[in-house]
Amino acid sequence: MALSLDFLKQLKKLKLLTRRRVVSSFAGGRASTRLGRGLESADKRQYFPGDDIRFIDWKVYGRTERLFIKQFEEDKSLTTQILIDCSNSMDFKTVEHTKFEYASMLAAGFMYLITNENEKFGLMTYSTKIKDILKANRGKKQLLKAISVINEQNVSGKTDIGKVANEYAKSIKTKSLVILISDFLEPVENIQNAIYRISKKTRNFIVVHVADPIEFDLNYKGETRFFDLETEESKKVYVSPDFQMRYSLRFMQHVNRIKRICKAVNADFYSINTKTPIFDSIFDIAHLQGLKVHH
Amino acid sequence: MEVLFGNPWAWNLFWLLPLIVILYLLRPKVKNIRIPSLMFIIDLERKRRLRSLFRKLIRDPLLFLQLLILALLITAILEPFYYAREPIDVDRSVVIVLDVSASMQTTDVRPSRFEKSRDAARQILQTLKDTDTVSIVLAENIPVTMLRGSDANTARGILDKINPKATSTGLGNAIMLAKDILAESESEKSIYVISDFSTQTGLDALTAQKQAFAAGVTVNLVGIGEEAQNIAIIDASVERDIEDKDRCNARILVSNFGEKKMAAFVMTLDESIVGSKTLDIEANGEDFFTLDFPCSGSRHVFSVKKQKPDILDVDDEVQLIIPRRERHKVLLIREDEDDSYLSSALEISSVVDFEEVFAPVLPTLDEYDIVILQSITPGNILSGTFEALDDFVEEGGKLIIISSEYLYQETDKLDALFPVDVMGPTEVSGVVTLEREHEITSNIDIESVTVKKHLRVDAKDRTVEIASVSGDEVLAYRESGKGLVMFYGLTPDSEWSNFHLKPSFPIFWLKLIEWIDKDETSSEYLNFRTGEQLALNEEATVVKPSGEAVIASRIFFDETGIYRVEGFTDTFSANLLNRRESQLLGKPESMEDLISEGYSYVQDSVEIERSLYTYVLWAAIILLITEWAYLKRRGTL
Repeated sequence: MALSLDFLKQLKKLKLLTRRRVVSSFAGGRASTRLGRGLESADKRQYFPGDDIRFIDWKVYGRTERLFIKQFEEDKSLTTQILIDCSNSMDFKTVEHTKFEYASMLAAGFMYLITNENEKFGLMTYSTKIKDILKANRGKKQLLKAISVINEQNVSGKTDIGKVANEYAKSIKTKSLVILISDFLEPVENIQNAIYRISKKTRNFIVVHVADPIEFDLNYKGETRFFDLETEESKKVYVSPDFQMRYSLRFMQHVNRIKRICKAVNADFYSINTKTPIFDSIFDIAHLQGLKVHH
Repeated sequence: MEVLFGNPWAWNLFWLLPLIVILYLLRPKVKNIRIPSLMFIIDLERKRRLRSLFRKLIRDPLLFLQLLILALLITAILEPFYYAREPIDVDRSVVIVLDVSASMQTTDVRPSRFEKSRDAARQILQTLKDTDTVSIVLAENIPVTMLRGSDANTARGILDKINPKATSTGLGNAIMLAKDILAESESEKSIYVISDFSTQTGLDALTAQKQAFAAGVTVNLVGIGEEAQNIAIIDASVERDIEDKDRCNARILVSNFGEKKMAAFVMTLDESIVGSKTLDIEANGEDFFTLDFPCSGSRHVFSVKKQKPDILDVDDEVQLIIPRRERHKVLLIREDEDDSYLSSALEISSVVDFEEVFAPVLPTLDEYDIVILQSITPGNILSGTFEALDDFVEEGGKLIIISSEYLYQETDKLDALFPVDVMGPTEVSGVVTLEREHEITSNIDIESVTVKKHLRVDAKDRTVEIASVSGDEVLAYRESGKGLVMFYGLTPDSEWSNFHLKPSFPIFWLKLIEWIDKDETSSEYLNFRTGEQLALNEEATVVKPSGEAVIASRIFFDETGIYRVEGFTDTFSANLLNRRESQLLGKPESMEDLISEGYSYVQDSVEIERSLYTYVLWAAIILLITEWAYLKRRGTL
């Protein structure tokens, strides 16, 4: 089970306070300063030809026989879509949690905070294709559904984020806040395509890279045969300090490339080591997203 | 190179090699790790592909290195070594025997055989160290030491100054001289003989080589040149006509050492052409020609020169000195009754200042070159006559005593002078027998002379017998003091013999007079062959044909041409006239295997044990360092 009972209990302690209006990515429940289509009408104005007749306030017309158009305060309630990589490579740990567990806990934290704000969120898991989709909704029921989806997730298969991004871009209709959580162990070109494609359908885009500490420093020694978790490909190498150093550089090079891609599409990028306490990671991301979180 | 081992037992240590392999196999197994980020490792390994080529070839370099190191260490314990031939650094004493004979002037090899020899000698000098000694001996007919026990640098200087001579070769004698020079040396002794080996005089070179070898001297024979064709003047003479002293006769003998060929010659007298001759000489044949030409009574230089030069010039020209005409003062002491055939014969000669006196008389003999005592009758001889004759001969006078009836009665008085012991007359008739070829009897039909009466004589010691009758000498002479006494037994009296009646009688007497009174100005004393020597009365400056002036008490004729001695009016000539030097034979078959074409020096060497221990150990140490570096780089250390 990716999300343990203990963790879920700890989630309840999370409190989220908005620091200011609008800016927040998880924002909701606050009046917008801008007029537009919203759930609640702010004022009325005279009808002019060309106005959408669906928004004619017939009640006023009944009383005054004049046509008025309902003007709505723009609906600031923003849907958050959370995408979690559940390919085989995520099922790896040398510390307490696998990368998938860690990613799930991160997602759960965000979902909890969103639910507290009474905002909508959706959930999607993927490997080479989209595995499960939970449509965006709000409320605790949605949160429980989401937890259930995560816990029932079968972590397997290869990753093909490019293909998934295509499918996702087609299915999504409104611009949302998208949180993509993955280990990004794919060719950087695939990752680039996916991020570009998704970014076009987002208002805000948060990219979270999770990696096991061993992936950072390859902390093995001596003659080792490494097998790939997804492809079963293998390679025998002698892991010397020199090799470790070169591996780390290569790994960081990969991470930095993703970081540059994110910067190019104005997405926020976080690279998280799974040995970092999960709540620290949740707080860090929430804080940097302009939220005030109290534990 | 065969490698041997000092500790063969250490071969057993090679059993340790499998131990390393076993230990290696016992090492922890390769860990199998599943990781998600293999893509980076593959990426890194791809970059290292080239560097890993060696690793691919040798699956585990460490095992390979360790096996190699252990193998090298065991090899070091085996103490490997090999035997190497190392040159022995010994001091050498070298004698270069340089053939400077006439044949070395041959230009069949360029620039000449001698220059090639000089080059070979220089090469030999190059092999010498500063501590080596070198001597140079010139192989002329008499070997000459040019340098003794000096160093290579000095030898080079001397070598540059040596020129080929026109003498014959005495290789054997030169080798013996070289051997003697080396006798006292304690260094490694060797003689290098550089020659064309075409002809030799004196001691055989092979014999000399063997003797030198027996004395611990190595003799190396370096051959220069091959058999070659040549046309040469091998004999020449010129003399005044015996009857007409204002004419001269020259006789030139030419030899063709090669294929049939024409050869043209020009003859000059004091540089004026007096004749020419073209000969068509058969292959390997000889031909001669004579020339009769006018010549005054003064001294002349007669020259014969081959017109077309060939590979050896030194035998293509001959220069001969014709001495000035000499007159001989002859006193004939005879008795009235004697036949006057002899007087007549002597009188007609243009070269004889003839006087005769009749016994008993005792004239002053000092004025005469020759005194002839025709007959001695007891009582007609004045006392003191024989003493005077004795003094005359002692001082260099020539005395001719003609046999006569009573001569034997006076032999006790003549004893000291007479070349024969006279026993008395005999009337056994016979013909004259020539005991030897002699200048005075050449072209004289003396053997047709019949003798009716003669003296029975016995030749004394040191007497040279020329002709005899029935075993008794009729022509014999003996040197006495500075002079000479001749016994003439063919008495010019018809009761004794018929010689005086023959036309050759006056010619014989002229020849006898000329021969017996031959002095140092005669042709024989002025014309030499190269290689001959002439002792001077005292030290004088001799100017050689090349212009070189040497102060010496003897002339060594080693160049062809005219020699001049300061303070001496006459000049001397020297010519090769040496069939053996001109023949240019190749190397003799007997020596073919011994003669090397060029110069080579193989330094003596000895087998020395060379250990490989240090090298093997160093190799092991280097590999150990390599292993350390490899481990360090891999991070194991």
